[in-house]
Amino acid sequence: MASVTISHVTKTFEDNVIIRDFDQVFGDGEFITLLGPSGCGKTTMLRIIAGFEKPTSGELRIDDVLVSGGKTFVPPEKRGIGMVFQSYAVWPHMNVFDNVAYPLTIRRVSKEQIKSEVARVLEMTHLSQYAQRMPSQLSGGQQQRVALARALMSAPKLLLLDEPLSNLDAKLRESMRFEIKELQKRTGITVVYVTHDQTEAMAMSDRIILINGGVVQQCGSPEEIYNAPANQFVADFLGKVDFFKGEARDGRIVLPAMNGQSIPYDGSRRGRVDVAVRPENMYFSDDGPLEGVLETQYYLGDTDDCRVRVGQTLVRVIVGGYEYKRLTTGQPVRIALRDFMVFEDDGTLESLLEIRT
Amino acid sequence: MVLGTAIAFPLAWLVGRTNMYGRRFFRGLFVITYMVPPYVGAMAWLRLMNPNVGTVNQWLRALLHLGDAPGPLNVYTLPGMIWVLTTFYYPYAFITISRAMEKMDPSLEEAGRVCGASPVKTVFTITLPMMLPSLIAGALLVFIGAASCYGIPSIIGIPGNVSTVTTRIVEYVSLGQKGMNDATALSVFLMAVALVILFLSDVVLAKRQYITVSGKSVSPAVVHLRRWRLPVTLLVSLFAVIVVLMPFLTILTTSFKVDIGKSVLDPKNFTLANWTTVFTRNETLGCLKNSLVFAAVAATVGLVIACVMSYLLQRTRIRGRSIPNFLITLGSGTPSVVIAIGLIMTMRGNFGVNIYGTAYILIIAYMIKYMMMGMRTVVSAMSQIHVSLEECSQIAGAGWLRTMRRITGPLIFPSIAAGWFLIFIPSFYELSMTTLLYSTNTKTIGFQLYEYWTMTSQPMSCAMAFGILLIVVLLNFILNRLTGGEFSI
Repeated sequence: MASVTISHVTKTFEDNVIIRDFDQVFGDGEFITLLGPSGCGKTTMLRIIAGFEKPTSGELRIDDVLVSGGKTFVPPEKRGIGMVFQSYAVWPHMNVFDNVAYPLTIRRVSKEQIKSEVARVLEMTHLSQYAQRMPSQLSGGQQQRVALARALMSAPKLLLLDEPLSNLDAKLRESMRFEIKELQKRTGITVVYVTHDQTEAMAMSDRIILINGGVVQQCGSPEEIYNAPANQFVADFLGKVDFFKGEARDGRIVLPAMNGQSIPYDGSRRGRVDVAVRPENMYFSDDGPLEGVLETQYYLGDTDDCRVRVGQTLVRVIVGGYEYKRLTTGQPVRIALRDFMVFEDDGTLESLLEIRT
Repeated sequence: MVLGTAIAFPLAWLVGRTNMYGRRFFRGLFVITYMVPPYVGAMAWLRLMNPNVGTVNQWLRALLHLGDAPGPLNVYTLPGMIWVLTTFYYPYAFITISRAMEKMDPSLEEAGRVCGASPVKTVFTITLPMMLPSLIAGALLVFIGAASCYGIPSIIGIPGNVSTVTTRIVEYVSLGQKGMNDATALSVFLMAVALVILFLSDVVLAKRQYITVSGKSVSPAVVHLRRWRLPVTLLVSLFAVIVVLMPFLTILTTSFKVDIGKSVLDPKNFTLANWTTVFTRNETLGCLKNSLVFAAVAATVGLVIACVMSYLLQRTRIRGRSIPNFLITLGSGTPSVVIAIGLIMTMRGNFGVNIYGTAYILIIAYMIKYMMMGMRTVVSAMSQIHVSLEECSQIAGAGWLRTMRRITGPLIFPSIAAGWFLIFIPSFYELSMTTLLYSTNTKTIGFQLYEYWTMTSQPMSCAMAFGILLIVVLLNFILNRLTGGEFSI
């Protein structure tokens, strides 16, 4: 299996900087996800690793062998990688068997060996009974598995996946997610996975690299990224979050837009801050620090999605579905906070919101 | 046919998918041939490869010290004719293949690379097989075009005693009633061949479900040629010079010559007289007027029909709405000579209609042959406008007429304009059908040119040919401007 060392890679198209100083090491057998909104440069990074794009500057090594950088450039077919494309790129003029066998056919492996190898991989991807079908006779999920089988066929050291699940329906996406993860665990292959779907990233990754505007925002385990986001963007991109302006002093944070109510705070920040709270980290409790009026609630079965008017601010609180019966719209409530994050108010929040709207 | 496609595929690939120098320029250049009247090309090649005085032959003789014997190249032979036909019909294949190539999802090729195939191997195992349907369709188009072409064989074949089905048919018709029977028999044969080919290409194209369109915007990956970049560009340039530039230049220079055997650079041999004579003669101007009027009428009427058909086809569920579409396609697939014969047989009074020798018969012939070009543009434009756009206008309170005028009309206007020119241009320089259907009052510019070439003077006809060429290029330019570069032949 392989490690990937990316040193100070920058990619520009004309005047546009697509990737700025990407500097990471992907360990052997790791499942790495490049996560970010569309246009953030994650796919470009993947294509640089694959060898379809050349970095403008910086170096790329696979297993400590220089493949891109300086005068060196190893073409994709000599990098020993497997790749699954967003559109699957299953060749429509070959049947499933020929599609999957292609990497071996290219290498002139003997017929018997091809047969047994393909059978093995088709078995692994649950495609055995479709070997003779043409791609046009397959569903999206099956085509996706053909692409995956083909990528695994050449026993790559490194598997690259470019939003492989984005064209599938929700149910199938969920089951494929676990299939891919299982496959990776079994084969111990190093995987670089590109997606804009945060749930997908959380479910599969050993490490998530969150990118925005070509710049790495944070790199860490799903748990780290979710609970200790490096900045407002990360907090906002993963999961649901509400931001409130506040002032930290004397062990409390005063929230002017909530009629000057305050919450206890024992952190180190002082002065103007952004408080970020996830709706599921709040609950209704008679001794909660914030007082408001329940304005609306949406019953979603497993949860109850509420909006509470606190001063001039509307606060989103998600509580368990069973709370629905206890609450009535218009009643006064008190909100308690299980957990919240505090960032320095340096104007990044505004620029972030500006981008999104 | 084979030759044409064999040339077209590498060209389409080089122009569409590599970083060769000047790709756009070459693309335009190769497509230009498509709008040149074939007989003009034939004339040019005669000038170049005439066994005695052809320019190329003179050069070759000088270069290889072959003495004064005729040759080495002789255009008045079967290979000569094949060569000229190839240079004029490869654009058909080129255009079909380029379009298919642009539509192909580039990740299909990238997948090949990731699987360990080199770029060259990818072209052979993935690109080429995927292009096969378009390749075959392109080849068949070239075949049909070449087989039913009259202009080139009539100018090259007749003096060289190389007959083709089309020239034979015309020859028989001129023999009177007895010949007419033979002509009809041959026409049926030609028609049958054309039908079989049309059917074949339909079958092949129907199998083409596998042009995948990916959700992402397609930006075809460019293959880097590295050290081959310059040599390949030079090779393509050489081809362009031979096939496109040389014939045009010959036509142009010949048109200024007094004595066609001598060089144009000799001041004594340079004259504008050919041009002035040709374009001041009433006869020529009359023919020019005829051509313009016939083509304009054919284009306008043809387009109105095309619009109605498109509307029926795209927006209604009337039973049999695809029949006119089928007929129009059939008409365009029918060799011109066969159309002309058919019109002679039916419109000479046998069935109560006698318009033989009038302008109407020519206009009808043009419409049958070229209406499809206009129809196809309008249909594709209309299919791209989702019905909801029209429905939305109706919801907003506009009636059907108003919806057409305010919404659908403006949206498809560029295509309508393009469709008009696509019928107009070929009708304007048509020769094969005109040869059989003209009368003294309805001579067109194409036929006039043919007469000049065979009976009067070559320099004068070259002047005329270049004039026609200029008009066609100008029209194409207008078309290009009018539609924002979206359409041109």
